[in-house]
Amino acid sequence: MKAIGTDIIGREKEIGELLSILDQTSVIMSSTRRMGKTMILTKIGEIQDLNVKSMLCFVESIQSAEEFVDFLRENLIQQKLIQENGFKSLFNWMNTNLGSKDVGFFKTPDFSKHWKKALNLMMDDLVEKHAGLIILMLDEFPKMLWTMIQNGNHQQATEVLDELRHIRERYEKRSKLRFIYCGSIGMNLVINHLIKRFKYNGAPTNNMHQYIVTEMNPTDATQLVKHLTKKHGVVIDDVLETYLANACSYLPFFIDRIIIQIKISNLVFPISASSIDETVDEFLLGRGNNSQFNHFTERIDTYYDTEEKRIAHELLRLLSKTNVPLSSEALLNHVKIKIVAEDFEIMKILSDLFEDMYVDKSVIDDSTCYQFRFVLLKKWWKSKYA
Amino acid sequence: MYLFNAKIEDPEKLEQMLVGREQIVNVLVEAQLKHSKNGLPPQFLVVGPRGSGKTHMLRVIYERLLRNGDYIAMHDIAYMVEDETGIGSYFDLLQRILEAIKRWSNDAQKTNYIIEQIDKLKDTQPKEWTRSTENILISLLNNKSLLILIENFDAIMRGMDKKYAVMELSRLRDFIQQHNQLSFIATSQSLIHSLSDNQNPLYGFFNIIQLKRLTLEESFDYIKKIALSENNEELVQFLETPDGKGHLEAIHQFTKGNHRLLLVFFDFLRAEFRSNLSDIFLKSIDELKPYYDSFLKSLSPQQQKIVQYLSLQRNPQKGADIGRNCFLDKSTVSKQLSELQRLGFINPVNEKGRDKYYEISEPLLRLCVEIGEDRNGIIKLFVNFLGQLYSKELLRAKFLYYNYMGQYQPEPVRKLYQEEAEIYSFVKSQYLNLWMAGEAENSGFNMVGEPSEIINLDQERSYQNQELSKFWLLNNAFDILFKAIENKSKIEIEWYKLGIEDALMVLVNYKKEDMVKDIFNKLLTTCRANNELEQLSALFSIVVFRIIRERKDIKPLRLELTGQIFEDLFTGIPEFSCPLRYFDIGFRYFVKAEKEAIYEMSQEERKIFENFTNTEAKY
Repeated sequence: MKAIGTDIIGREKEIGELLSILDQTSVIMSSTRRMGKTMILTKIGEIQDLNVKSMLCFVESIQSAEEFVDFLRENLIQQKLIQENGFKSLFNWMNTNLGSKDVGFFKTPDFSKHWKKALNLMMDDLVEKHAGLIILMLDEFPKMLWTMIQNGNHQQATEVLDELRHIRERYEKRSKLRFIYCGSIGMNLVINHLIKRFKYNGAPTNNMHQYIVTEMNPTDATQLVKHLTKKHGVVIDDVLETYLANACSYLPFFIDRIIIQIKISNLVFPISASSIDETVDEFLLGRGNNSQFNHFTERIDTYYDTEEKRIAHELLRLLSKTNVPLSSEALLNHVKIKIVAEDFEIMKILSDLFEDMYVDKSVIDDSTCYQFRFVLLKKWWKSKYA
Repeated sequence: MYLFNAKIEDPEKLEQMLVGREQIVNVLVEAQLKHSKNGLPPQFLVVGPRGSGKTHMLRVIYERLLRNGDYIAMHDIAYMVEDETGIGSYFDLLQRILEAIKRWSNDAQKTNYIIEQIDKLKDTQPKEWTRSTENILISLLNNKSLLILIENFDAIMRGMDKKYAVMELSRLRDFIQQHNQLSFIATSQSLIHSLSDNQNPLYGFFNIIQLKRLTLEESFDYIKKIALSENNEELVQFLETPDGKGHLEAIHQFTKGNHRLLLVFFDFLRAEFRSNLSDIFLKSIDELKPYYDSFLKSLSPQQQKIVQYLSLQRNPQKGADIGRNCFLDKSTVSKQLSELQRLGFINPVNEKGRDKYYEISEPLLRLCVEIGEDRNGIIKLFVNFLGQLYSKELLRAKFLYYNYMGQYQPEPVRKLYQEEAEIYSFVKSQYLNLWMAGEAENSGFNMVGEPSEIINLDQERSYQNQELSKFWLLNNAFDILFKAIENKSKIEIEWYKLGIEDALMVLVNYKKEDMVKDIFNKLLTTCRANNELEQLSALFSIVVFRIIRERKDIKPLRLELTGQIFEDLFTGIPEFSCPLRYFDIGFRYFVKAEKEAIYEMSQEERKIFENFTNTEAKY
């Protein structure tokens, strides 16, 4: 693999893992917002050599299957994975069946009858052209499907999912065409919605590998701090680099933003741990800035039912106020004072909060103990709800 | 209005005038220059109220980047600082970007290409317009990157049809991410509420920079730079005097360090700096009225009603009272207050209190309405009072500083300070006599190093109060003061030369209320006869604030008696209404623990109260 761009720091471990998974199968990549998943995709998108070709497409605003196929065609050309005249099978078919090779056809109403065929032929041509691994990354793909459903086009949403599954099945065995469906809302939510609401009975992603992007590891995060402070001319020593990375909970989004804020504040005194803390607090809690983690609140408000919501808020409120991890027993007792709930109901919410990356757990003195996963989120939660 | 338009001003002058925003401009320019093609393009949103220098910043950024040959070889710039109205969709935005490239480009081939392609577009199906315009833009860029400098991004977002806004913004974001060639430096007058919505496609997209108001020092620097750029030496010199600084500090207090408002004041200041500050102030307010009216018109009738009501109340008002007086129900008033707060028109005063108090965030907006109702009202008095107060306080600090340094610094530095303190020769000679008698060794003062390390003036004074003031009394200081006033000497100079403030404090502390009364009575008569009432009022205010600061060392009864004397002497004299009010509020707030008393003051009055009593009132 060729060396990849130098401006996106770290994540080599994740990218290595992803590439070895992609060698075998396609991937559903998910994470909550601000973990830096688009950066990972961008970095993979920079890999263009004999063995690996990749294309990153941002599809959030696509509204129909026809538009999706046309968009893919345009991007395959623009990103030089194939030349316009490289779509041989596609053009042969168009010539034979439509009497023209004019791709303006993709934009006509008639194309709605033929998009599946065109998609398949385009993939044929693509696979024909490249022997190595081909990675097509569709960022915010679940949102694209969600928009289609919201627009009353759930039928097309299921067809896109099914067609892409057929394509994967067709090529995954005999070649290395792989997809990454990436999104901040989960594919499972979209598919469950289709199943519940529209009686969809497909399993369009069950042969894909689930990959969750979390925060950076401390070494990468510190490297990122080093890179950005140098880039912005912020003078800071090694100890404070580590401190800053930790103060930002190793989240690349916050590292980037905080370093810019430090630069702008033009501190008269040398940067210190306390000035970093002040900048983080101002960025997180200052007037006009207090929406940084709204997505965590909204996730609970949207996907937890009324009782679950109350329990989740009570648990998080308590955890945001303590400086030590709390045992599940302590949490159960606390919640039960305030809310009528069974142990198993509370434990289920704790488990959901763990899966959704609100909290982390560890075993201390034979007890499973919980604390906020991100110090930043804890601070924010405390200021907003505790 | 002073002619200073960031869109047309000479770039070099704009660079010089870039006060308080240099670092942000540096960061924004560096982010462009250091952005490598491999990384994601920087996206910034600069948020600041009207007149906070956003247009100015964008112009400087544009000019700096334009002059950088390496940058321009790899970038195009769409400079969109005209009033971009009529943008209702992502397609409109793309069209305006092309227009802006065309408008500012010197490349005839490029402009012809844009004209040609847009003409062709007119003959295509509407469904094709957006994607085709994206393609025109991409082929125009030909692998270069594009920096979009765009103002009022909040208005553009508001202008988008609500039903389709999310989709339109998704397309914008997809396009930017897909091609990795577009970088935004956008500005907005207020925080864009929808950007904090997790579902908004631009959530977390921009690196948001909130512009801070200019500090007093920056405001001073700004005005001085403008005066210098006009070669107005006389004004520059005036600005360095205590009166000049006092004027400017008062102006800063009202403009809250807003570039544009400072400029309006500058316009009158340069013409009439010897006039009363209130004359300059009233003329500036007249000039600003249409400016504020224009953005009041952008509010809904309910919001206008609230702003109007709050403007006519000088002090903060409870949410419930606002609703009652504006005839709005609870939920409406709560919704509108929160919207007005988001738009930056009002501020909650007590963020954590149960009953929130609100006030107009910009004092000048309030004053435009208030002065319309009563031109010769309290505000005229207050402005003059403020200018005088600041200049007297500066003089006081200067006196104490030079006097102190003139005695404690080693030679040869001491000599410099002694020379500076020449105007205080009387004081100096008396002080020196005392120190020669061995007092200085017991003073416990340490030498101070740099001039910036100004000593704690009050600490020094309280230590010396007793002995020195007795000394002044022995020398009939007050008699000298009266004579000096009659001889038309400057009252403030004599006041400090004679240590009158200390003397009065001793009298208050030593149960000599009768003497205080006699002295002020005589001062009042003398100053009135010599047209010096405003000066006396400011000096009296300094005594008032000092009494409040040192309240813990004075028995409550003494404070009450002193307050009674002040009331008897000064009630009904307009020049003394401000200090009397401060004494009353200070006494009730600190001594009687009436915490709500603080809300009887407008924000600028509160600021003075906090500054001069060395305390931050707890709301």
